[in-house]
This record gives sequence, structure tokens and C-alpha cells, in this order.
Amino acid sequence: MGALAAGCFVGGAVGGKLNSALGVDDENNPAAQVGDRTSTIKLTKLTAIPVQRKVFLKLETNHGVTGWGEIDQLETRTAATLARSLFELLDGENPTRIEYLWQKVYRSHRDMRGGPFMTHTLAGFDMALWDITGKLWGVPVYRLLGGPTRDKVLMYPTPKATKVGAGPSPFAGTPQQIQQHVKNIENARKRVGPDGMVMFDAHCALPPPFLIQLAAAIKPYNVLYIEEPAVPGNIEVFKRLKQHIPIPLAVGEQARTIWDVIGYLQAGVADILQIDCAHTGGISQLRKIATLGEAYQVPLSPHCVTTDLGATASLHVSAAIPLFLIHEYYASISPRGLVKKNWSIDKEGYASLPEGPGLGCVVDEAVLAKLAKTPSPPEWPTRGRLPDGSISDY
Amino acid sequence: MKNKSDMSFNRRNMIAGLGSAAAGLAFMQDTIGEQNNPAANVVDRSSSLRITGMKLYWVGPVVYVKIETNHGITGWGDLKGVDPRPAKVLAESLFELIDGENPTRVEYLWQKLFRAHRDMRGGALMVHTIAAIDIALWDIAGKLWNVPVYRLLGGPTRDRIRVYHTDKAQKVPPHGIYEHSGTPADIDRMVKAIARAREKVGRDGAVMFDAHSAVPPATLIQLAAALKPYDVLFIEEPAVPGDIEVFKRLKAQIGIPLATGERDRTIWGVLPYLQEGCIDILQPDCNHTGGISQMKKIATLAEAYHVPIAPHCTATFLGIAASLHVASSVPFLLIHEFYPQNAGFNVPGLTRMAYELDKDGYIGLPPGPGLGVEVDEKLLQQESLKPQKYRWPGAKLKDGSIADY
Repeated sequence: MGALAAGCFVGGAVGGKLNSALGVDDENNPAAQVGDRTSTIKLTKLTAIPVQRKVFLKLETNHGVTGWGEIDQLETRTAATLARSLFELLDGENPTRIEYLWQKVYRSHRDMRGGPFMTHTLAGFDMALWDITGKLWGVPVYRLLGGPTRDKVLMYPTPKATKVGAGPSPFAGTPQQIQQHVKNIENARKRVGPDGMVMFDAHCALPPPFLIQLAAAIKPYNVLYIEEPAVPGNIEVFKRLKQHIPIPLAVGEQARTIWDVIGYLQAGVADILQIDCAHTGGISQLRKIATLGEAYQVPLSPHCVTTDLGATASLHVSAAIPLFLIHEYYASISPRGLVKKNWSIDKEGYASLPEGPGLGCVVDEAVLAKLAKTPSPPEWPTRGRLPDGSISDY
Repeated sequence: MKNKSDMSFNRRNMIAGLGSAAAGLAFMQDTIGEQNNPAANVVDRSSSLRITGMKLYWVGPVVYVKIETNHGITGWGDLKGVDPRPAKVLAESLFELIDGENPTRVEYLWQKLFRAHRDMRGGALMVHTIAAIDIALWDIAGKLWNVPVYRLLGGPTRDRIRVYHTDKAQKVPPHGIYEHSGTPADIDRMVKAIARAREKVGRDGAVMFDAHSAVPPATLIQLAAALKPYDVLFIEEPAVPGDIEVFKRLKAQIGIPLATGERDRTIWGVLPYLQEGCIDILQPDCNHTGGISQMKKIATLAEAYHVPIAPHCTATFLGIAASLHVASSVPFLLIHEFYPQNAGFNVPGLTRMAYELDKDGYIGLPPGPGLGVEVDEKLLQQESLKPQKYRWPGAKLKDGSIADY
């Protein structure tokens, strides 16, 4: 691929004679040149920049095309160090070999396989590799995922879809404690009306007996689902709750791979999968999980607490999968001016499909550099405390 | 032990510092009957023992973790099996959660670390780091109370610990990374290695085969049929952990006991194997499972399912000792992995532990107090100042695709 062709993709501006299928000039179509043996595109550089609670990854290539990814929910200094270390595995590789590189990173070290640090970091890389590949071929990422299966993507929270949350709670609730949650849910139902959605996020903070008590009390409010009914990792608890609770259960924001998800599906305890693109190992793994969900007739309702960069990556997958419910999104998470996204939410609460090429986000590096100068201290919330001072989940 | 005199001095200091608090605990002293028994002073509210510092030394594949207290007692642990660079940064960050805490609240601090951040819970980096801290906390508790750690774990359940490799117990590696189904030549290579090991140890010895997740299910099923005559004690890591269905499938088709667990980090990691009845031997690794605390819990689960543990162990003397202390105290132990001379895991001179291996292939219980391991901090510091290197491993099949190993 020539420097000239690369030049047009850098800014995302694909001008001139467009090929209707790919959106790129035929003659300079880089898709014709991506066979690994012949392509000369190589990863050359990683910049990992902690910004507030995220780490932004910039992957550069020898042809000027760059990709951006986001690492979420990790201790940022550790994650940035790990990312820099892992780049040794990617340096000099062809960035369009996304699945191969995913495998290379994930399966490189038998003892560091899986888990939050490895998989969230891998997610950041995966997003950046898809970003590069989309830019290289001049198409939005969802075009590389089988193409759009919908015209717009339903989002929450909106005036018609709201979620009620819970904090750490003791092992069994008093009527007063139960009533507080019921009240919150009732208020939410009033706000959204009978044609709206109310979700309840147990956030792993309500111990099983409490949740069983509560579930009985909230029946009249037609809750769409109870999110994170238990701490992931012990399928027996989910089986027990599924047996006792007739409200749909949503799980998965802490599930990082197809192997974490298969247990829920096989045991029939998940009605909705709330996979997080930044937790699962990125676009590649989120899409695989959607396929599993489809096989079991369990829709995806992606969890998302990233900036607009990670949210856009997740949106590309939601645009391309068959079985989808609703997508989480908080505009307030993105620091002002850091990410310019290429999609918007309409008044009915639907997001437009992100426009490419690549992820279709522009990261303002000047803002990033400025934010990087004032890193947030590491956050160890340990929010979960019971009244007796013991540690609880949250 | 070299630092024994230093330590008793420090303990005296500590007890002196506790005078008034101890007086408030007269009811405990009645039963203990010992004015200065430090065990009487560990109630959290009244004990003045606090974690004050952490020192980290990266040498070779290991980050050595030292936890310091306000009374001079220090504890050591080793952080291994992960990239030392991010692991060291993470340990520094996690120190915030234990700084100022009473180091003898080991279980509480384990929970505080493991459950601190919902999204960073579990996984290698977090749990191996917690393991090193846990090991160091037990070391402190043992030194404080002047007993070997196994005395705090219910006391010794055995007099000596059977280990491998010895003349009577040999484990055979997979001798390669295998394709999805093996050729007769592949199968022969593994069978021959196993036959040689059987010859070496004799009919009263143990031969183990480590598939190391490098023999894909189809190949392993082929191999297992050929292994029957050699009475292999177990096949280790028959599959990559994380997908219970593969283990169920292998269990249904292989007539040799299956062992796994070195990469399962918590009780929740091992529970599916037990529940599904697809593992005959559990191989927790003290440095991978979240330390002494979690390994002990895994042994309890295993006991409930009548599955013995055969601890995996490729650590420095710190990790070796920690694992041996657990092995000393559990009811149900098969055999313990033991490579003290492997300089790749255990750099000579940095840590020292007295041990004796008898002619039957058993070693004595580990010494105390604490872990009973001496660390040459000066040498460690010197070594850690030299540039350290880390290289990512990785394996490929013949067609260039990525393989497990």
C-alpha cells in the first residue's frame, strides 16, 4: 500500500472516486493488498495513556494509519504497563490479522490467560486493530462484522428506559429495607409509563436471600430484568436464584470470554446477556458471545461504562448482530472534548449507526495530553461494607 | 535462623508498646495464663501491630514482596507466574488497601483485596499478587506467634511430605506441542517416554504424565488408550482450564485419573470440576490460588469430594515453603511437586530454607517460625538493581496458528 493511499485514510476522509461496495478507490483499494505474505502494513508503535479511570491506546503503523482503543475499569498504571509489555507480541505484526493477534496475546502466557487485566487490556488492543482495519479498508467496523442488521440501536437510560440500582445489603432484608427498593422501582415505573422499561440492577450487592425476598415484592412492576443477581463465578448460585425468581435475569458484564458465558447458557440461568465490549476482549469476543447468545435465544443488552470511544466500539457490534435488546450509554463519562463521535441519539432513544471509516471516532490528542498530565489516583473502592464492618460485594 | 535474635528483640518492643491495651484483655489472659503472650494482644481493636511498608524486588521471573510492620516484624512472599512489570505496579497500588491494617487479619485482608474492585476481581495478575501478600501476612503471623505457619492452619496432619521428582516418583512432560489429532509417531514418542519413566521408578513407584494443555482432546484420547499398560498415576492438565465441557468429555473417554488445577485460582475455579466429577486429583498452586488462605480452602473442598491434592509448585523457597505449610496441615494429600534446585524458578542464594529429603522420597515438615525461609535482602537488592528482562512466551502449530501449551 502506497504512502499516498495511506494518506487519505489517516484523516478518515475518503475522497474522489468511490467504490460503491467498499467506499474506496479501486486502484488504491488496500483490501486487495492485505494477504499477510504480501501486505507491507505493520504495527510500529503503541502509546498507552492513562486518562482518568481509562487508558487510551494508540496503535500506529508504518503506513500512517492509526487505531484507537480504550482500556476500562482497571488500575490504570498497571494496565498501561501491561499494555506496553504486551505490545512486544504485536510489534511488527500485520494489524489486520485481528483474530490471530487476539489469540497470540490471549494464549501467549499460560498463567496470565484470561482475567480482568489480560482481557480488558486485550479489549483495548482489539478495538484499535478493528479501527485500523476499518480505516484501511475505508469502511465502518460494522461492515466488517457482517454488515448492519438494524437501522438504529436502542439505548438507555432515556425517558422511556431507566435502571434502578442497589448498594451493599445485609444477608436478609427487613420489610423496611425491601420497601425502599420497591419504592424506587415503583417511582421509576411511574416515570417511564406502562410503555417504558424499568430494569433493576442488583449489582451483586444483594445477597441471594435478600434478592429472593425482593423479587416477590416487585412482581407488580413488570421489571424487564434483574441485572447481576449474584457475583459471577459460581454457577450454583445462579441456578438457585433462577429456580426461585420468576423475573428475567441478566448477567455477563464481568464475563470476559465465550467460556465464561457458556456456563450461564448451558445451565439456562441467563435470560439476557449484558456483555461489556471493554471487558470481554473487545469487538472480536463480544461478537462471538453474541453468536452463543443467538444459539440459546438469549439477546444481548451490552453493558457500557466507557468513554465514547469504547461505547462506539460496542455500538458497532450491536449494529451487526441479530439478537439485541438495548444498549447502555452515559455521555457524561467522556471527558469534555476528548472523543468526537460520529453518531447521535434521536428523541425516541435510538442511536444512529456510527459512521466510519474504522470506529469513526476522532480522539483529540491535545486534550488527551492535557488530561494525561493530571492522572487520577488509583481507585480501590471497597464499597461493599456491611454494618458489622465486614467486606461485602457490590 | 539468622534473624532470630533480631526478631525476639522486636517482639519485646512490640509487647512493651502494648502494655495498656493488654491490660484491658484480662479475661483472655486468665485462660492463656501468660502475661506477655502476644496472642492475647491481637484483638484488632487493641493490638497496635500495623502494616507500615512494602518493599518489592524484581529479580528474574519473580517479584519478591516484603511487608513491614511498626514492630519490626516483617513477612515475605513471592509473586510469580505473571509478567513482573505490571505485577509490581499492581502490588504497589494494592498496598493502599493494607497500609495501616493489622497484618494478622489475613482472611479479612484477603477479602478486602479480592473484593475491592468488582471489575478487577480474580484472574492471574490480581490473584497471584494477592497470593504473594497473603503468604507474607502468614509469615508475619507465624513469626509474631513464634510458630511455623502450619501450626496456624490446624497443625500438622503428617510427619513428612511425599514429593516428586525422586527415584520413586517421576513426571513425564508432553515432549512437544501437538496437532489436533496425533500421528502414530506422536503417540509413540509420549508412550516411550512414559515407558522409560516406569522402568526407572519400578513397579512400586509413581509415573505421572503432564499433558500441559498441549495435547488437544482428540490426541489425548488416542494417547490414553495406549497408556493403559503403564499404570500412570494421573494425566495432568488434560485440557485448558475454563471450559468444563471439555473436561467432562475427556473424563467420559479416558480411563486414567485426571489431574488439574494449577491455573484455577479460587474455590470457585475448582468447584465445577468437583461438582461434575471430572477431576480425580486437584493441583492447586499456592502462588496462583491467592496464597495459603485460598489453597487451604481448596483443600477443604477437595476433601469434601474425596479428591486429594497434589500441589503444583514452581516457586522460590518462599512459595515452596508456603505450599509445604499447607500440605503439612491438610488431611488429604497425594504428592507435592518440588524443584528447590531449579535456578529458573528459585535463584540460588536469594532465599534459603533448611530441608531434608529422605531416601523414600519424603521431605520433613518446613521449619518456622513463619514460613521458615531466610531472605538475603542485601543480595536481593543488589540483584534487583541489575537490568531485568521479561519475554512473552507462546507456542504455534505447524501451520503457524497459535497453540496452547
